[in-house]
Amino acid sequence: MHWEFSVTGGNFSGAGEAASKIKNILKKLGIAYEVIRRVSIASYEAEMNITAYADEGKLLVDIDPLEINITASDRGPGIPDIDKAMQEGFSTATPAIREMGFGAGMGLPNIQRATDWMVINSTVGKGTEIKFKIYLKT
Amino acid sequence: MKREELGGLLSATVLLDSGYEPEGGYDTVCACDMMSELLASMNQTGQNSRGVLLLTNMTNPQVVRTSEMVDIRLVIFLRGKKPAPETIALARSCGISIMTTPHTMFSSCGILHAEKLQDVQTYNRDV
Ligand SMILES: Nc1ncnc2c1ncn2[C@@H]1O[C@H](COP(=O)(O)OP(=O)(O)OP(=O)(O)O)[C@@H](O)[C@H]1O
Ligand SMILES: [Mg+2]
Repeated sequence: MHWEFSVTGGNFSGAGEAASKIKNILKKLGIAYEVIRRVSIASYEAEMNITAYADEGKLLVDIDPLEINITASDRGPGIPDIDKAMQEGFSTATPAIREMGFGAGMGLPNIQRATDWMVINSTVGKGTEIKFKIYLKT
Repeated sequence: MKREELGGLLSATVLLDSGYEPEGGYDTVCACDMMSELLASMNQTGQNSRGVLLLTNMTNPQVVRTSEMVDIRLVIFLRGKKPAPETIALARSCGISIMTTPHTMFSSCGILHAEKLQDVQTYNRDV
């Protein structure tokens, strides 16, 4: 099964809608609570980063009997130093983003902790792609 | 602890009542203002979030959206802050109750700690 959700950069009032829709799909499919929580956290963080830093992007969701795969890709500034971006506390969030409660520098580490596998590909000036996977059976 | 009892302890005003009451009441507090911090604490929790309430100074709709992601059903705003209508509207559609207390973060945590509510970091309800 495959779903696609678009995300608009800078649209903070709509931010989280894609992750919320994904969560509802998983609920309807009867996926285990623990798995839903992890997918929700990871997809929400990925969506918030597109909203905060990129021009536009999308979340692609694939579910098969064994695992959930999500790709969050965007057209945007890219991440110059991925290792640094993965460090807890590192953030380039603007004051406006911080005022909304974001910019702790914990989003990417949260995605890593919530998922079974994660990889980031990014090209400066072009965009970023974050892929992650959560197993349905342990 | 029931929502009404919590409200009394914190001298809180109910801004939105979803009618939801967790089985066994609220027993755990997530106290924070940064959304990713909230998600990090909730990622460590056990099987469900039924008894967790959020204490926060942030009143924008993202607080409700973030709560929805991890099934927090009660959000209490501090220092008498009242959220924008969009925040209430989103909370209504998510089945989240909203209260506001005149107390600060420090005082609210003190009051609930004295009542033996626990920190979300040590949450182990269904584990
Ligand atoms: N899609 C993206 N495009 C460009 N830069 C990004 C993207 N995602 C993350 N970054 C960069 O990586 C940094 C760290 O991201 P991370 O999500 O861990 O923290 P944050 O967004 O700054 O704060 P938080 O997620 O805790 O609210 C960001 O501040 C930003 O510089
Ligand atoms: Mg982030």
